[in-house]
Amino acid sequence: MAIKHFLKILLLIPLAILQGCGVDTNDETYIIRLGHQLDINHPVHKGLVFLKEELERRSNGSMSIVIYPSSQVGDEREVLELIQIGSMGMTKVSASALESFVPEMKVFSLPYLFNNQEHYWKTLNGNIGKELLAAGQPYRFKGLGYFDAGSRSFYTTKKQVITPDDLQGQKIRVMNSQTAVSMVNTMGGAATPVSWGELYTSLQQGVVDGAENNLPSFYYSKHYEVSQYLILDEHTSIPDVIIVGTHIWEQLNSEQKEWLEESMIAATDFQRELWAESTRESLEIVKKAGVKVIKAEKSVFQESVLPVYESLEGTDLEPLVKKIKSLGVKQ
Amino acid sequence: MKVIAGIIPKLNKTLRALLATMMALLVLNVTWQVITRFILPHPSSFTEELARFFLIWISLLGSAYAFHTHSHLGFDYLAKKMQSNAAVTTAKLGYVLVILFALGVLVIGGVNLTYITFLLNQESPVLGIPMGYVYLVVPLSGLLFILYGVWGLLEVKDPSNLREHAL
Repeated sequence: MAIKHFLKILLLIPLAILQGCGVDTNDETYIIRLGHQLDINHPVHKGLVFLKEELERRSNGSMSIVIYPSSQVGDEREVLELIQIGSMGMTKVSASALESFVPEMKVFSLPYLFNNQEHYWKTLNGNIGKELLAAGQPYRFKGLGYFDAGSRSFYTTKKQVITPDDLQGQKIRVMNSQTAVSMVNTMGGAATPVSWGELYTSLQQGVVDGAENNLPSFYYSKHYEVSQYLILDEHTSIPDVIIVGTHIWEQLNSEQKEWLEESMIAATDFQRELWAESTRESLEIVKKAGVKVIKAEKSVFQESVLPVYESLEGTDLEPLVKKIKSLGVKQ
Repeated sequence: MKVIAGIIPKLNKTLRALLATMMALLVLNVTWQVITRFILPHPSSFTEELARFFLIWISLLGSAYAFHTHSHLGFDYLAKKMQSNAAVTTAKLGYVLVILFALGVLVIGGVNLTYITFLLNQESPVLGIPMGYVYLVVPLSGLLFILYGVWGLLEVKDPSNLREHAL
């Protein structure tokens, strides 16, 4: 008897898994599965929950999203691969993680690409933003929209950084990305790719002298505990991108696509506010914790990275960079 | 049987040489990383990624080889308590399960993964090499597991060397 029960359960497992893959036949709800890396307190997760609720409301409960937070289904690259294979429906990734899949996304890792917030959002919400979302289609990614991921700034453990010259000889942790490496090296620092999970101890033990990230990440990662200085130079603004696999997108009818797109627009606005709030809060907390926050003379930093743009001449990225830059001039 | 028996020693030799070479390169690579980080002014940016790729190749090919030499970890508590013919059956069943896993997950799944990665042109972030080359080791190790599994299955008939086959 016990074996019979065991076999029954064994048979039920694949059935349960299959059900998660798409149409739930019991109550006709179309379920999309979404995996991401962040904690459930993070503004990005809250934005995604809002997206799910918005989608349920607009579709009268006929569509829904199941969210798997905190890297339950893998890191950014792994989830992207799962979407390509067709095992996962949606995800939220940093545009920098998309670089190795969609080459056009490299553009966001360029330092001081945007003049200010206005220029940034004008680009994302305009034609260029739409083109970049569509650029993923040949790689089985349909970009739905963007989430704010702030601007990234440097923080250091020992030496105060006021101008790029102060970065000389400082080992700065960067993400695993060629663009990030060349940016820091051009500014005069020594770029050191260290994985995110190892960074706290690396800062503490002096493997690196500093790192760069947005404010909420600086706070949530507790790196402020081992860093003395934060310089708000805001060198890059790399958005998060919400992606749905083309295998899901092509199954949807035009009404369902519309619901999803409208919900995404609402979620973007909602998340932007949350993010701004979280940035303010994080700044206050790290200040209280004793981190010295330095206002940067951005123009000096901007000048120091000009060689990065010179090296782009003649590459596939050049026309895109020119288009984005010209949007900023018109203002 | 004879064909496999002829292949196995040559394969072992090649695999050993390959694994030893990769291990040596891995050690050199990590040493270089430490030197550039702590002694030279500019840390090397590619070493971390390269180390990871070597580790993937070494562990997957190495586990197939370890499976063959019975140095892979296994649970033999129950097999030891069995009578010799029951133990032979258990060992055979073990080999069959390993072969099925290797075929389904490593070979079929791995070929699918490698094919998609090449097709969609994913590149590694720092070195810029196609990730398909890294993933190629999955179906490759699957084939080795099958070959060594079949060999083990044919060899296990003799109860005298059974202890070694307890999986």
